[in-house]
Amino acid sequence: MIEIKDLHFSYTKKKPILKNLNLELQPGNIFGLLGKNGAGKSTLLKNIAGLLFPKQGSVKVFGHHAHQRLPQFLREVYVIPEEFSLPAFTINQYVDIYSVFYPRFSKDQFYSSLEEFKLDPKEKLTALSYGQKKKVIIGFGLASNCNLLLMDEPTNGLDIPSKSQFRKIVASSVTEDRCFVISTHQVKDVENLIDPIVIMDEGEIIFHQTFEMVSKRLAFEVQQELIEDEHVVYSQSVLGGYSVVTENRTGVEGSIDLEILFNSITSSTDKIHQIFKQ
Amino acid sequence: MTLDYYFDVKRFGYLLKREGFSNLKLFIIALGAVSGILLIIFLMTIIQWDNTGKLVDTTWDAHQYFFIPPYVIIGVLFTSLAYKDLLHVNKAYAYLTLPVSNLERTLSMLLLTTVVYTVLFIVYYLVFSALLNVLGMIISPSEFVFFDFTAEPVVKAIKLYLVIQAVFLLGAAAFKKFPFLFTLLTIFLAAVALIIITLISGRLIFAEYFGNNMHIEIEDYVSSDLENFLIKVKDILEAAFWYVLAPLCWVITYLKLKEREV
Repeated sequence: MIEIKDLHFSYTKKKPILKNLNLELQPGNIFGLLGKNGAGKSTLLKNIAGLLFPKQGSVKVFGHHAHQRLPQFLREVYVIPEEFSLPAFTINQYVDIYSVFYPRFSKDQFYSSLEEFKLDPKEKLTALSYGQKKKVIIGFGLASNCNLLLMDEPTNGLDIPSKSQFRKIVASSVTEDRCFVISTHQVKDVENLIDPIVIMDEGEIIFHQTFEMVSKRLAFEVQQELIEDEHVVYSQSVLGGYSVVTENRTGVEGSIDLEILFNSITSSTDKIHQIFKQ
Repeated sequence: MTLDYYFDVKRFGYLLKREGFSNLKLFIIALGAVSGILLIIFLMTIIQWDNTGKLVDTTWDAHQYFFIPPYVIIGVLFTSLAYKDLLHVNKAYAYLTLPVSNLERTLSMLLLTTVVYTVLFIVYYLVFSALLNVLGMIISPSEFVFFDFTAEPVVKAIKLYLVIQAVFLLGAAAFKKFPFLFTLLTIFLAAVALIIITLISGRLIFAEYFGNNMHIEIEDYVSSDLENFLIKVKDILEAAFWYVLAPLCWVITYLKLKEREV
């Protein structure tokens, strides 16, 4: 569905943002695109949406080259950016004007999302808070039934109850034909929602695995005292001891701490690669 | 690739609706402001007294001159804002990912800023000028001639606007900030460059006619061949201005939109 081959992107010649990046994303999944600030997540999303053009390599989405921005491609892609600006319409007017561009847009789905988020469709978009506006475009994106939904930091600006509503709505909207990509560094917000996990660092994909594979290969535990062990991949001190990531030698699949996983991958990339190569 | 990759009537209609809705408020405000200014000028022109202290009784026929300046100025200002969504990163996302083709993006704004704008402005001015005339007849003993949009100066102004606005449409697509000002600056620089090139070319072509004191006697070089050549050049430049400049700007506008990134 999304096929990225040898993607190279830079704003200036000296400093590449994306370096020979290869990635394939299949429908039916909610991909979590994680990475530190400046890792290239937003740039990658923009390349996928056709908002930036590759300097080398190609980005193909549903068989279309993204940079061509053909209408047949655009009607299957909806982007929820981190920062956005909405026109001075009421929610109802906004839906009337914009929904017609998306052939599978479901007004019922949109209004039920609004209900979930407790928003009045008669309200003017400019009168809403940032978080409320975000809820409107999240609801719109999901109701568009586009096959590819790109979300950049979607939980930024959402209050605590809204974050769980967000997880609920997103989880119920994904189908076999749809592919969601959630780019975030707030990993706690998307825990139990994203799978597989794609981690970027310095413009490269350093990790791309399913949760199932992660729990097969790695074990997460809290130890009161740090035990020196060659199988320890990563450890960090936490309240009451150490959070430790080790190679899973028992074969028993345990729970995954996404934040610790992220830290272990970014700080012990080579060790992790070795474990997953086996 | 099929034709609907580039153009689809239904999609184009949706886009026109979106653009119309987005710009309607601003257009109405602009018309309101113009109406206020024109009303003041109108009153200043009709309320004049003769030597006997009576209001001047004459035939008032200045609507075409009232129509032309605001028509052109508002037109180029609106055209400069044709792609205002592209001026802000946060809006550009939504605009460039809207499922329409770049051709439709170009044609929609072209249609709105030329045909639709001109028709709406003429309709507005027909109504407004009629109201001004009624007001004038109440206040002044003068006779007021109705606005004729087929009058030669008006038609000429519309033709000129259609060419000029193409340059501003290109500016709207090309400049990332202050498109109106940057387009004006570009036109100014282009004009200066053209004058310099013309002067240098003239100096080089007619070098032999330039004396030591740089004085040129016109009669010295106006042979019939040269005259014909100069007339041809003038005709070509005129034709290029009226018939080539605008389409060229439209094509470049399309290409600029196509290569626009966020």
